[in-house]
Amino acid sequence: MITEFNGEFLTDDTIVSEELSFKRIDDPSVLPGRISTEKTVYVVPSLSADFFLLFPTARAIVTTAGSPLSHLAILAREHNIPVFLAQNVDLNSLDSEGRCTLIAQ
Amino acid sequence: MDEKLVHNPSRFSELFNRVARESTESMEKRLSGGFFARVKFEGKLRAYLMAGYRSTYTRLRDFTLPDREERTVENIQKLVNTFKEIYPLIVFNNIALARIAPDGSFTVEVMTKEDEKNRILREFSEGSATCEEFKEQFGHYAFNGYEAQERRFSEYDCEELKKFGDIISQVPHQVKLSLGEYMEEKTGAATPSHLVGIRELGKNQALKIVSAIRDELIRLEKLDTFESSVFDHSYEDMIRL
Repeated sequence: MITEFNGEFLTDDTIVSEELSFKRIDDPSVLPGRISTEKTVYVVPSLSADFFLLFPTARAIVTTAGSPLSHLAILAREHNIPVFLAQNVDLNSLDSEGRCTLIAQ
Repeated sequence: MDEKLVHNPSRFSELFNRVARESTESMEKRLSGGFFARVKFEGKLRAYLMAGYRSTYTRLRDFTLPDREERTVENIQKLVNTFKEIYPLIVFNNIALARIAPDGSFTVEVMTKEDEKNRILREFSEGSATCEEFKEQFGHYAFNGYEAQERRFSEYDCEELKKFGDIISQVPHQVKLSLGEYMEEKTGAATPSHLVGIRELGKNQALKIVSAIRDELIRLEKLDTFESSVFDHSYEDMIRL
């Protein structure tokens, strides 16, 4: 199943329409064991700077809360990593990993 | 959707979300309120962007934790009151930042506290800084840092911290001015870099308060008999003790 994230980019990015793999990360303290070896879309609960640790392998970062002025969004812009605010996601019911597409509205 | 200061807060740390929410709502109310309240607030914002940000910078830079008392509960009260003084400075600064750069399309030209934290962690991973140096400067930080229940970096093993440093060292880094140098160099109206730097300086100081509150709560847990974790009690429960 492909999860469709609908929302808007908080960074200056255009539509990333291809199918991508994603991982849900709720707690950054577990990251050393959860980081992917290949570029991945990370789904996180906030744009806390804690998630800076995702940058080496982030294809994009999807969140359900935050703004263009959130610290992680500012940092992501500097590192050319798209940040996407998904308005249709219930993080509690989202699988811990899977395939997804980002649909900017 | 708005970001919460503390994600999945413990009962005690709901306090920090409440302080953040009340502070934000109070300022937003003035921005959207009656004519005179709005004019007054707009004037305050303009003054902040012209020069006022510099006194907030100085106040945050020179901040020190309040002196400790004998009684743990009094210390917690004192620290919470200090948090209530410091946090609105961050909220107001955020409103000012949103006023001059609402879409976030700017480059931060200063090394923020968060950048400094990552730099020392990277240097520790690469062998040019020690674990103790990192803990001395950023031991009060934590993941989900405004959650008092969260273990502080000072409580981590150096091996654990090195794993985070190893990850961070894979991210390209840029050499930037320190906030102090930038403040000296750019003395005119506030830029986004000033305000992002001040925000992160404020966070650094606010986390010192949260970390000190955590220490007091752990001390209290050792003194008193709690049926559950001390963090499962609200702040109001604590001050009734």
